[in-house]
Amino acid sequence: MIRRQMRRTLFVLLTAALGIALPGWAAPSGGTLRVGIDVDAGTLDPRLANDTTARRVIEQVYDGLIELDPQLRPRPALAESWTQLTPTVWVFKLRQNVHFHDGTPLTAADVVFTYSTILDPGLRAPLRGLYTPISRVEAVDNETVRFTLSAPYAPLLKYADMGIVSKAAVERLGADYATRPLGTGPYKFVSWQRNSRIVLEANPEYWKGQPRLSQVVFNIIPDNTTRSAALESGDVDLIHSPLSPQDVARLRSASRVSVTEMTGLGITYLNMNTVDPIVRDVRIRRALALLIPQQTIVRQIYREMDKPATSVLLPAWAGVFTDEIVQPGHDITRAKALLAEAGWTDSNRDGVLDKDGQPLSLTIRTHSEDPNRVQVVELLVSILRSSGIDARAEITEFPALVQALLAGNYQVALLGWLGLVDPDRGMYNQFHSKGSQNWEKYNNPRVDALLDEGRQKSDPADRARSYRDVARIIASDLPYYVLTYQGYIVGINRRVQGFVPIPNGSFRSLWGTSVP
Amino acid sequence: MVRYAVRRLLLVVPVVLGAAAVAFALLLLLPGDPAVALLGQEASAAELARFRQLLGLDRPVPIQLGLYLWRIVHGDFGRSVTLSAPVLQLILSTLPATLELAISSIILAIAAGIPLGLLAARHRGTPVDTGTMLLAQLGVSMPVFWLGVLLILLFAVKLNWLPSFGRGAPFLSSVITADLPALADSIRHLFLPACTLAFFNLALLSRLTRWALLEVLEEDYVRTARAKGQRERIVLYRHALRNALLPIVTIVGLQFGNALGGAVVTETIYGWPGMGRLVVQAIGQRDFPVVQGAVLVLALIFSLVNMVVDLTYALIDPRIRYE
Amino acid sequence: MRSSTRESATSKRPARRRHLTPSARVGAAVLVVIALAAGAPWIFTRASPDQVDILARLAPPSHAHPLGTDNIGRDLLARLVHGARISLTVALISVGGAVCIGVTLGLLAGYFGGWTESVVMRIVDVFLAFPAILLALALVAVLGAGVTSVVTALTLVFWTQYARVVRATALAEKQKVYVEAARAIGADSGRIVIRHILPNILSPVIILATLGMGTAVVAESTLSFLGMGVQPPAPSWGWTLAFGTRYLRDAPHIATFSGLAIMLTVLGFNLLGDGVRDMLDPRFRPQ
Repeated sequence: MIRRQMRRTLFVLLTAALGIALPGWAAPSGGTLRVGIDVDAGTLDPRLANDTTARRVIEQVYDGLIELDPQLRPRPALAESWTQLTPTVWVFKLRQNVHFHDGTPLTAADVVFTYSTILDPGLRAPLRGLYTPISRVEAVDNETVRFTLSAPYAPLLKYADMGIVSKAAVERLGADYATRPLGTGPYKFVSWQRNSRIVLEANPEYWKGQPRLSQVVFNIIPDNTTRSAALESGDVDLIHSPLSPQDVARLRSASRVSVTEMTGLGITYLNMNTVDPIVRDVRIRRALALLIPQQTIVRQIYREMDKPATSVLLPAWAGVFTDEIVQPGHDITRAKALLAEAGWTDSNRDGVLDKDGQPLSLTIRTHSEDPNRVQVVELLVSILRSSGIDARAEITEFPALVQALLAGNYQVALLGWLGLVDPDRGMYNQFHSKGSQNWEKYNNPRVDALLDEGRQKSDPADRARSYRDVARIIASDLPYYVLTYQGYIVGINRRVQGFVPIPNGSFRSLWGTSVP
Repeated sequence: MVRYAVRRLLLVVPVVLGAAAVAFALLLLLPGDPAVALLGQEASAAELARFRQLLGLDRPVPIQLGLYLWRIVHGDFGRSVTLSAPVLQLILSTLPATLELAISSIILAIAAGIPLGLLAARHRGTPVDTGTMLLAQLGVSMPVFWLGVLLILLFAVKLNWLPSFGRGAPFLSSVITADLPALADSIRHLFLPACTLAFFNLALLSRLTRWALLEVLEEDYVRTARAKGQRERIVLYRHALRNALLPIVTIVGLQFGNALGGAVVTETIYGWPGMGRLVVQAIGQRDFPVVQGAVLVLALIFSLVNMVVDLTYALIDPRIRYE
Repeated sequence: MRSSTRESATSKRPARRRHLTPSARVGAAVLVVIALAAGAPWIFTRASPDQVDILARLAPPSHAHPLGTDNIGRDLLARLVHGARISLTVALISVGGAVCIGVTLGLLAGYFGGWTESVVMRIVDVFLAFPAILLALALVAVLGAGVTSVVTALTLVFWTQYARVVRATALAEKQKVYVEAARAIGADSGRIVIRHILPNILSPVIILATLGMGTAVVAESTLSFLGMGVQPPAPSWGWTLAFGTRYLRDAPHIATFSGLAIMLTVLGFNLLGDGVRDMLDPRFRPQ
């Protein structure tokens, strides 16, 4: 009797187990787009978001005053129109009849609340430094917001894509708002399984019109190779940078995948601590730059997924970029001459250069999560050692690296920047003596003046001139040696239609994307 | 039996307290300021000061420990530094996934390991025996993560039969609701990780089963060397198996520990969203509240499982006395 | 294979073997090879484990590189051979440390009994409440990655099994007649412990230690695999395997060979440990 029941259960289980052999069971049924991303979001509050996944999800759940088009130009979103009354006063007119996902209407009060709280040091918003030139935000009436600046601020519009939060919801939910986001965007938040997936569903009342997708699922797959494999096998429909070069090569030839590559908005660079006793000598920095086989690294390790960089100017900065400003190239003889000129010789014949009894010791740090950077550092250490420098690699997880940077406890570090939509974003906080991300403690009054100019001038030609001057100085002083311009690569299943890649990684076009 | 059970239960308390003390001590071992470690780099000076006072970081260690235990008992495991959620909530949301993986791997190990050991014992001395034991020896020597990588290479990459990441639908809920597509999805994602995790325990169990059976059999086997027929031999084997259950049951507790520990690596390889992966990522992110909380909760579960195993053992063999 | 059943019938215990079983000999041979790799790497390869050749990266096995190259063109055979030293050293020091601590505490607990025993055994129980890898991981996380932390963490994780076994043995020995006699004469405890008890704990400790070396090698590799162990560019097997898994499709040889190295070493210790047990104390089963 019992045995018969067992047999039945076994039969059921076997039938279910047959499901194992059916590949593509997880094939989606109309209207669900599955995205593969690399990290879990830290928070879904747009004001506090500090990682790329959070931004991708927030872009769907929230709208900003503006949104950036593929050429990185601002176009109206929640703000229907805007005017610059004076160099320091901007007025935004809000779109009417926009509602949050819980039905409450969007008003100017929400916009004011969003920006005021960001500016409040108590909130510790990571991007606060981008908004500090704003001295006052106020609601003129229910549909109009006025921004008063302490000085003219050219990039303001580009940074106005910050998601607008619901004042009422934040006040009601407090810290829980970070895990129960509520916005006006094309997709509503459904669920968040930590380290696994984030699920969104369409917002039928969206002001642009109902999105074509019914659901968007973000699958968190940290390993680049696993993520690419998931795209190839059809387990996800869309992935984008960061990707491993060998996987990109394979994706290009995969039949069900279409790969789009474009110049990105990121750089990989060597941060050189200008306060460190050895690295503070500009000749050492130049010698280092001269020893780096940039072309070989890009070709072999990055397999041309990224491009060799010439300066801190990004090719994506139309009108500002010029390839005439160049950092030192690859020249071992000159490097050795510079080191000798700086007083480093191998006086005790032990194979390591020294000066005043001290060996030329250099530690290059990077973070373990990026295998390409780890390989670059290992390669560099090997090259430096063969040139008589006592080089060491120190590879830690990202938070440990950040701690070291903040404390100034490093000599040279290999890391990167992303999302540099504007030259101000890529240079101000990094090189200004009062910059919040000037970990290398670079201090050059001329650069300070030029960066302030660039921020305040509104004529694009003037700004371009200022930033080019900065780039020229940086290419000579080398607080940064920029290794590569990161490419932005999107891999997408061919059946997905209507997706438009944007170089800053934005997925705003998901509103118009569809899956048959 | 009841007296033993009570004594055994009471034993859990000091062990758990001790485990909590170790979890607490982890913080003391940290270089640098524990307040910064628990709140994160960006905390303001005022917040740090307030936090220090809350934790009693300026008071003597025993008082700190007491405060920590008090908070634990009230369910306050602190807040994650990087994941904007209370630690307890994070742990509870990832625990089911780990339990699903660990338990299914143990079931697999038992279902395959015991019959294998039986087989080897029955055919002792033959190539079947040697072959099985060789496999078992390999299994015990093979690192979990290598096996996982090889399985992924074969089944997910080369053959593309199974997915190599993530968890499907929850197994139990899809069984209960008899949702066949969800069940298929669940098994598809569960299969490789569970097999990977089960392999070591499977090998261990088969060796142990064979040894335990032979121990019993050797004595009785000799006495009934001139066995009178097939039926007596079957009775013999059944009797032997029952006696061999004792060491096997003991091992289940050990296996659970292996499974929990192995889950850490297996979850990382397969992207299984369980506590193991949570801990590894928390360690990478220097998110100490999560590390502390997870370590404590896992120790708690492990202690409870060991207690259940000990009680079961005592049930089977009344001669057990706790020294 | 066990020895004759006739002996078992009379003595009710399998007889100790006089020689190592064939499988144990295989294990010993494997270990000799690994030990040679650790101590005298030049026997196996003249290539340097740090020599980078970026243009030859991810190459499959060839005449120039018998096991192929890794992700920045270093010879894989050289990396694995030099990695043996790391694995064996870490394992040796960890197990050595664990044995020292475990034996000492176990002896104290077993011989003196009473309050000492209760305290020590409670501490053992607390440590055993944590799954091993998790405890090691947490300790390394707190102490910071690197060789010292790994060794410390592994020592703290492994000592408990020695303490338990030694205590049990000490307890049993303590009750034997000759110990009572020695005490009656007035011999001091230290002498008794060293002369009478210590020799008897050698067998189980040796067996456990041999098997424990294998476990230590796996543990060290696991920690390195998770990025928490010996740091690059040291050629740790676990780290090489971790990197190899990223290139599983293009260059499966990296992951395959590094994993094989780990497995063979562990296998060697397991086989040898089983053989040692058959020789010294066949009834012994580690709890």
